[in-house]
Amino acid sequence: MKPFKYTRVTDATAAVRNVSANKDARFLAGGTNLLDLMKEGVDDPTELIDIARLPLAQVRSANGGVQIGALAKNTDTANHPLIRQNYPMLTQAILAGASPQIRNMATNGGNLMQRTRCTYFYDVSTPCNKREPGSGCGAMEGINRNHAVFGWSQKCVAVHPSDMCVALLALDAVVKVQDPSGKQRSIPFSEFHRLPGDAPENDNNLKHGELITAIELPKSNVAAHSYYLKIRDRSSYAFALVSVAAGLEMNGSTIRSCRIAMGGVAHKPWRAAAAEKYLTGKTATDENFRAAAEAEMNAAKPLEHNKFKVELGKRAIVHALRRAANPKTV
Amino acid sequence: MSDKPPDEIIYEELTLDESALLEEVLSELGESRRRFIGQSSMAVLSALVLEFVAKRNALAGTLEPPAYLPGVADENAVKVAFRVNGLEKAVSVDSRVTLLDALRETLGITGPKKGCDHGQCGACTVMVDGRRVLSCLTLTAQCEGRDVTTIEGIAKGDKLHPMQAAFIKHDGFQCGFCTPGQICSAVALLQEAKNGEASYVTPDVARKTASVQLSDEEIRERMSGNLCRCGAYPNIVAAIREVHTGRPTDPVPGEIAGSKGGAV
Amino acid sequence: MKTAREVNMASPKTKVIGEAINRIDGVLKVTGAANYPTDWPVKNVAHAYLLKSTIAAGTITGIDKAAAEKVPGVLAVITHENAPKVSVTGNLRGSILQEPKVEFHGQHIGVVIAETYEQARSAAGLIKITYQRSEPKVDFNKETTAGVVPRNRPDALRGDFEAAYKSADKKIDVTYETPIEHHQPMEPHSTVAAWEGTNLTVYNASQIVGAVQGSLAGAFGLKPEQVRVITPHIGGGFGSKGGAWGNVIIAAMAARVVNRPVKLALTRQNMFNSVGLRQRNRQRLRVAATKDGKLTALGHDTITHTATTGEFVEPCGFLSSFMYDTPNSRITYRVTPMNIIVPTYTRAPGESTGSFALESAIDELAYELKIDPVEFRIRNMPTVDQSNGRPFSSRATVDALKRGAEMFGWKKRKLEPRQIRDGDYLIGYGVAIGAYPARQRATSAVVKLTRAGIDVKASVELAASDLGTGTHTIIAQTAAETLDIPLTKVGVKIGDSSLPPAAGSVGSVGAASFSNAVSEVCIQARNELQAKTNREWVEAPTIAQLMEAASLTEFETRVDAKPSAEAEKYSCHTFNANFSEVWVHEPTGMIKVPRHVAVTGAGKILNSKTARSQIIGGCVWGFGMALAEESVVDPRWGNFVTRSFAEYHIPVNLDVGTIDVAFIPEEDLIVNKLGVKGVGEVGIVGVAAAIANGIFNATGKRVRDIPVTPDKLL
Repeated sequence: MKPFKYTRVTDATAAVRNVSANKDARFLAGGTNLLDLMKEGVDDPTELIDIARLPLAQVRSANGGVQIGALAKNTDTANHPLIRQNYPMLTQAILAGASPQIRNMATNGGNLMQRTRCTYFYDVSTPCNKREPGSGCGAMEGINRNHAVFGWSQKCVAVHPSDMCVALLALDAVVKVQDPSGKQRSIPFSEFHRLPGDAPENDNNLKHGELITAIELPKSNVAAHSYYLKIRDRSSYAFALVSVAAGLEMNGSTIRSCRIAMGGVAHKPWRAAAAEKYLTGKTATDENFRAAAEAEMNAAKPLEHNKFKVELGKRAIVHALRRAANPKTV
Repeated sequence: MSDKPPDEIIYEELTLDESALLEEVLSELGESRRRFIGQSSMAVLSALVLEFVAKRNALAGTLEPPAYLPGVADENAVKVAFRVNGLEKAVSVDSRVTLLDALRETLGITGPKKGCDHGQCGACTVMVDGRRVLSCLTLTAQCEGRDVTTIEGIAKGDKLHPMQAAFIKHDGFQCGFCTPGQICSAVALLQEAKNGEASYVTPDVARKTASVQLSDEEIRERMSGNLCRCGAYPNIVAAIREVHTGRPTDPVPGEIAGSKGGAV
Repeated sequence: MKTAREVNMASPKTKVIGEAINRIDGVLKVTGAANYPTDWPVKNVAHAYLLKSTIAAGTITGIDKAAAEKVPGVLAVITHENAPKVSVTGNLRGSILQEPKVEFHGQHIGVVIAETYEQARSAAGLIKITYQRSEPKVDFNKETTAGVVPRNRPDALRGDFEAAYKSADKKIDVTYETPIEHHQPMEPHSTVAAWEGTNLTVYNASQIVGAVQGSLAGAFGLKPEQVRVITPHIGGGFGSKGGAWGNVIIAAMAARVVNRPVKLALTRQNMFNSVGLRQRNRQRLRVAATKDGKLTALGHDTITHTATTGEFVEPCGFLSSFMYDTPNSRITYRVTPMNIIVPTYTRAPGESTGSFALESAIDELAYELKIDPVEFRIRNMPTVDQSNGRPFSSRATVDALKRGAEMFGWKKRKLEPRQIRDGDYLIGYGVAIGAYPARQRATSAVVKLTRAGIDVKASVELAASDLGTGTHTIIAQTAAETLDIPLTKVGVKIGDSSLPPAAGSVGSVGAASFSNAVSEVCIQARNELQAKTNREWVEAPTIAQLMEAASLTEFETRVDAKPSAEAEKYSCHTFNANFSEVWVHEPTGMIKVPRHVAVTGAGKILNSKTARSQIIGGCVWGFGMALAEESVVDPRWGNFVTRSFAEYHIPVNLDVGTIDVAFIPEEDLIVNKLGVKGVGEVGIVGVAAAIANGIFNATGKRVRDIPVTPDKLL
């Protein structure tokens, strides 16, 4: 970790101004990923702008939905009555991630900014196009069990590690951002993170210096029938092999609409659009769930060590939908 | 949940040697003034007590900084004033120094342990403003004005915290290295349950209640951020269950089949 | 059960040994006051950070450290170019900056010492190394096809295995894979080294106190008494803290170079390539039986790797040599040197991995024969150790199986898999047996008695170690009962090389060695005092009476306890049986083990609370082995892609359900005078097999490569 200048700011405009002025400056919120990366030598900022005490930690009703502040802690967000009642899938997704201690530190904005857990990204003795553009991808021909089956490129096969973001994508959240000129803009969640393409160093479509101020959740019609399923190598405190956020809007036994997103399968949280399309208007049966899962996962392009994710992904979609359809299933 | 901690019952489990040690350890903490053991009583105490006393004496005089206690280097130095275990502390450290390193290296508070330094084990768990956090992923600079509680500050007055006593009674550790983090985590967990917070294994998260009674599975999930390589998990759960429910339970000894408890 | 206070205050002749009393170091541990190496307040300490190789094989051709040396606070950068010469004889293991050769990825190639940890780490990142690379041997599948017979593990053949196997009624031929695993104690290896002239003091977690002292003395050309190793508490070791690895030598070297105390703590990432590992094994089991379930042949062939720097082969086939009555047997090993750090002792080395293969194979054959696996095992118990013809000093296998089956409710188990369900879960039951040698090692001990009136206090002193095993407590219990004084009057001094030499806390020899030495020295104290009084006693006198009669207020004596020669004539082991209830979530393949039963015949149990905890710990290691732990090497470069706790999964609290522990009562006075066999290692033996067998019983799927992660059950 190189020496850096630490500055605590008290208003968002100053924060954005400070970071925009220095390409090697970073916002510091919870720090749970940034400090980790700095200790590994993966990121080497010269300046940290501590935004943790900016007044952006509210969770409140807004526009028929709920707005969660970028600096609200993961724990507080997951446990807020507005979230638990209206977006239980988001509560589950947040609580599926990391550990209680980390969720007490980590912020919502920071969760969106998490970087991949690809071992080649973390190990500075190996090549990685995301860490060092042009150095090559260590995982493509290496050990890629935990890597992408959708949307990868020759430059990068990493996956996004967040659980929370999978639920946010399924819920059609909108990310509110303040840019260096002080202007606010809104980014639909599906456009926030990006696929690696030729520039895997860019995890998302934020410009340097832009600050996430809030996340807006539109009114949800799936609260009664939703579930976040996480499949992992140990029962807790592990990243997902595959995860699924599933929400169903039911009309009797008919699926009026559905929301399905996946984690652990792509460079960004993955919208299972083919599965959603298949299920809309159908009855909630295991057969239909399976057909929807096939529709989604048959387009997967697995790598040498993660072929299992195709079948695991199908099963995860089916099981998450079953749980969503019938909350009493275990 | 019972308001009355079962610590009196648990105290019966302490040996006299432990009780003596306990007095020494506790007199070090909180508001009470430091007492030094007289030569006469030294002989009574075991090597374990002497180890504690030796360390305390070595640190004597370095632990009450009048003003900003300087780190060795002042590159990008930040001055931070905060409270640690109820005492006002002021340090001037390199901006890179984590709370964990400031506690251990600058303030000599070595209960919090560096197990991984990357937020993957929980050995460094402390409470900041009453909530459990990882001191290895917290910069000291972020702690300005905060209230930090480490394992050294868990006990109150002249008694162990019931959680500490329960860990001893149920043998909730072996090597003891993860224990400060486990206990800080467990103490914070009690409050989280009182707040009605949910976990990933909570059956119906949409239903929010004022407080929750934790099943063993809930305790396990909520303690999964604290690794224990000695595998003391079942005993850790027993200790937390006892304090959480307020119902004293007998520790489970290894059954000697045939000689105890109606075996074959 | 008595409370500790009752035990402490009880009248004379109270039984203290075996009681489930609390650890006497418990208060230190729950208050944060226990000192692990980096917790000691050493004044003026400098901080060190290791530099590791980024290739697995080759030679360092250039080191550019100019930028690092300019970093404020940096005191020294030591590499092979400027490192003090140290001797590499003796027990010394690991790289110690003496030459430019690189033999594995992550080898120590330098160390930066600075005023602060931040400065040292930051400077280390600025050092540029250039290498002449060689093709590394790091791909297990490619390299191990042409292994050789290890130096100390010749082929062991009994009867005519090939003929018996060929002609058998029922047989299986299956291969099991166990991956590289890492010890990963919660306390990373760390050292604070301080020189005073030619005397060296190190605070260093050391399972074998004397071995670390010896390695340091050897490395720096000192007499052992010039080196003092202090290690009262050890944050776990599991074999990795047996002796001194390179980091200990480097810490002492660094302290000498900068002429002040140095603290060198390995990072968690460093732990994967600094202090050994459990090697990957490919075990082929060929087991044959008659139709009615009598074993006729057992073949156990292990293929593994070692380091280019030294040979270590864990004995996977050891249990296969004596656990079952098999007239025809074949046990072989083939090993290949690779560019991976040298393997070393890892909790039940050989027995843990070997029992996974053996006990899975026995389960597979029992299923082929349609015989209950408990019954099948009981039918094939040997009467003597067939590997050497010796009788067993005691053997609790059958009792453990029967008692375990009863505790577990084995009767509910179905022979055919997939018979028990709960919602989406398939439920299966698995069983496995195991063993670990019971040994005593030479240990000296001193007891110092002081008397004031009728009040006698004892200080028991020996260079034993306590890595969470409960050594402090069992020593106090042994001394209290033998001297017949309250536990509170006993002080225990261990973990210091200046004390009388003792066995290590390794290979389950600790409890037997320490308690027998302490018992002997206390008996000797009583006898010597009695001789001094020159009196006939009608009733057995107390220690206080003896000292008073001899007009002594202080008395001290020492023994050098030796293992029993009689034990050499026997096959001496701790035996166990494990039963596991496994729930497999059919839709997702996630597994949980809500209930596990471990029954052990371990001779005399010195403290049933701490012994139970050790067995539970072994079981949790077995859970990790079965379901989670795997160190993966990149087959191109030799780096571990599992390089932190985020990728190397040890069990978390939620992974562990109820574990019921029982001990079979045994009075085995052949193993040693107190009849103590040890429980540190045996707890893991058979656990992974019991779980894997349970997975088969649940799902009908036999997974022969552990860990069993969800993808393997699709």
